[in-house]
Amino acid sequence: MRTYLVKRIFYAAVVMWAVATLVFVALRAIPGDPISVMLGAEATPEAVAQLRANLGLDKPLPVQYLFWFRSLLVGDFGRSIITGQKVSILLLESAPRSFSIALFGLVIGLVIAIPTGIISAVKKYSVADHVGTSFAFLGLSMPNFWLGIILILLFSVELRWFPALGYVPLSGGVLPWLNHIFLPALAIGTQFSAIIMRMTRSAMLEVLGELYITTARAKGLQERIVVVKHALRNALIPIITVIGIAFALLLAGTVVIEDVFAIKGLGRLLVRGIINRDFPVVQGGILVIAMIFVFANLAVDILYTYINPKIRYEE
Amino acid sequence: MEQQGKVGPGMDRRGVLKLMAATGSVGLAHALGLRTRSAFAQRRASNELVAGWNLDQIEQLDPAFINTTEQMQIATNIFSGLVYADHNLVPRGDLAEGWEVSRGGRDWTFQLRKGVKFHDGSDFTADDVLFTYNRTSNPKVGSIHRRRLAEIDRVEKLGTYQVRFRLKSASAAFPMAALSRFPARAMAIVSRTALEKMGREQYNVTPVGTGPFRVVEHKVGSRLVLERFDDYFIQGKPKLKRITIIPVPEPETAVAALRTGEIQFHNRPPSQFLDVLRRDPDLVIMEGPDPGFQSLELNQDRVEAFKDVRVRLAIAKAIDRDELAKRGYFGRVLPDVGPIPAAQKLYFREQKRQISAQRYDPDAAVRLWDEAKVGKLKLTLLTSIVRGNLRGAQVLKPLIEQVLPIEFRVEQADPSVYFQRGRQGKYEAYLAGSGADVDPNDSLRDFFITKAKFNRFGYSNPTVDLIIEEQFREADTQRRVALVHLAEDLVMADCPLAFTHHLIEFVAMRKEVKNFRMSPTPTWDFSEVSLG
Repeated sequence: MRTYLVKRIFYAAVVMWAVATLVFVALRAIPGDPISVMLGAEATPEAVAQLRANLGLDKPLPVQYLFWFRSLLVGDFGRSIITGQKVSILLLESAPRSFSIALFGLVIGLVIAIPTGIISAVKKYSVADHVGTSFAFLGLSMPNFWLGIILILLFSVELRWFPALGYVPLSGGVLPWLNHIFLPALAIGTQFSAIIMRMTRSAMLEVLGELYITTARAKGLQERIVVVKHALRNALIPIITVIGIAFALLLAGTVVIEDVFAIKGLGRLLVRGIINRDFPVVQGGILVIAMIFVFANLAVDILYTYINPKIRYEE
Repeated sequence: MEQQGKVGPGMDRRGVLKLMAATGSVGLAHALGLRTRSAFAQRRASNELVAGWNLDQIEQLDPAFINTTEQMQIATNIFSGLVYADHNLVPRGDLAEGWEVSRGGRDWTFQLRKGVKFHDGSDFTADDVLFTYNRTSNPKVGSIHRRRLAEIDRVEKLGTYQVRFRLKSASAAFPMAALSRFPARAMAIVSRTALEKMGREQYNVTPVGTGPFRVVEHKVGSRLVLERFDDYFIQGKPKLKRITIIPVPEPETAVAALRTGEIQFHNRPPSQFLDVLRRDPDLVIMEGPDPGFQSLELNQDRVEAFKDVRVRLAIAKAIDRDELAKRGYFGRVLPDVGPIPAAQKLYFREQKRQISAQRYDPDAAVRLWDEAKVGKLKLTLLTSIVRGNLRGAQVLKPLIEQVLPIEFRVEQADPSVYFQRGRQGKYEAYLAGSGADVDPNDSLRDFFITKAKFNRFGYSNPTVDLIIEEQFREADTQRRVALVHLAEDLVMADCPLAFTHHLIEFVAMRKEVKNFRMSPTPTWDFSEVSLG
């Protein structure tokens, strides 16, 4: 297991270096530059040239790459070209917001999806199954930004239960934090739950048809134990795989949702960075996201061994 | 097997209910939901205004680099200039108590206020005026407002509270064009001590000025918190204790937050929702003309046919501006045919739409096109999401195409590409305009003299150059008005740009926000605002 982990971490480092380099090159290959955004319509050629020199953007590309990569190795992501702020600070400020929304969205999604999926499988073709399936298709077809706006209209404008915008960090209190992230998390969690619900249903159906389930029932076990302990546990492997992949979907979903709820998270930071051609911000942001994906996948692989003890990684 | 599939293995009703309860988001919502109304009442009692801003993030607060009206609207509450533009666009003393003009309009001597403090506690003196001038005019700093100071030969310190600006030639527009707090920006007075202490990057985010509010917190993209500056040099101002500015880029969210009271003010409510906002009895909508113009730029350096004035005029005459305003901009703009905006009250002519060479006349457009013998033209119209121009371009395209044999391809670009190509003149037709033109000088001199700052469309007329320079130096108001009108008439007839409209500025606020006045600059001064 240890060798496996070391190998995976080495591959992760290579992947991240490749991502970093690719992003560095791609950003500079696309048209547009940060100076145009920074100076706007009032830019003069002299001001553009001066600012380009001040920011080191007039240096040859390989030199810029070496400077950037050298700083990266000592944990320095550089400064935003547009605002002058340290990228590491921007990432530290925005990442918890996106993770709060994504993780709470994950919880909401699972709380909705797993029980609904189980009911749908256990009560196949019943009214509950049809309701669950309809909900899943509805959830899949609703764009989350639209759902976000509907939730704002319902829960903020009409009922006044939740705020329409903004974010309060966890340090500001658990309730205010939950109060601010509930609607955005629900907006992305709904779509996520639809995917997981369908996955749970089909995985459960497959397992429920296995002989050992019949055996469990035959030996007189309670149906609850048959479903939860024998069927669900065995159905979890494909579900967890999908959760790992779908978490990426959740994080991607925060990009739009952060805009709708005016929360400056990782997604909004990145989108703004791309529009502004703010190279250091985009490079730093994408590196962090790449890191999350790599480690999320690694975590899923490790989790397999706990759920199914038969799975072992070769030394 | 089929029966088993239909009925499914048994699970008792209690189990099902338990699982369903687990999905009960309504209960969770009740548990988490805080009645936000009490928070709003609390905010009113603490004299704090929460404002939404039509921005993704507040990026530039250093006056030397502020490039958008939205950021200027905020910074006007942090900084002071030697003068400010009043509601009639007349310069009034800000940090200057008064001034004298001598040497035939070439020397401007300013008496500065005494006892003025920066937000960091340091004193304001003539040295700060010199520092700000030297900084903005230094090419190494790279300020976009450097050219506003180009008419200044030198600045002299005559005493701790007296400075003299020696101009290269006389200029009536000098105080507004170069020295106004905003929109000139070039001489919004910055704190040398704060700049040296913080560094340029931090100063850009949490600047220090002498204005009515000081920055106490700025989480870029999340919120900017301004607090009353107790040592502000005007007694009794500001009235608000605190202003929190939240960037709200999504129109629907801005509308919802205004209606719930989460924000009490919005600097630019989305025009497509103005009717919704107007129907809410708790909200007040104000509007006023924006000082700028919007136009279709016709690049003579890129399209040979545009060198023929008949082709340019034909395009201008083919544009039904009323239809463009209605469909392209939700009727929230002022259709027009020239560069001088309604905000410049002294210079604006109501009858311009009737007398302009560019007035809508599709028959004349066809005649001019036929005379020019250009046949069919295929053109690319470069546009962006900036200020609703993408929608405008999509409406403008068929309006022109149904009159003239032109086939437009609307090319949408990111703002970074849009501005870059605009600056470099890499376009055939370009939907763009000017902003913050508080003086005719901004509308004419920056665009229409040969090789002017924004003349990237290859226009040159020596007579126009002469008249524009003449109005710049003319001290007599009546003569200046006549010169401005003459220059505008010539520009409209030469048609380097097909003028389309002027923007209208809107603000939305809740009824408890009192004493807010719209300025034509358009900068939003909160120093007199209170909560009732």
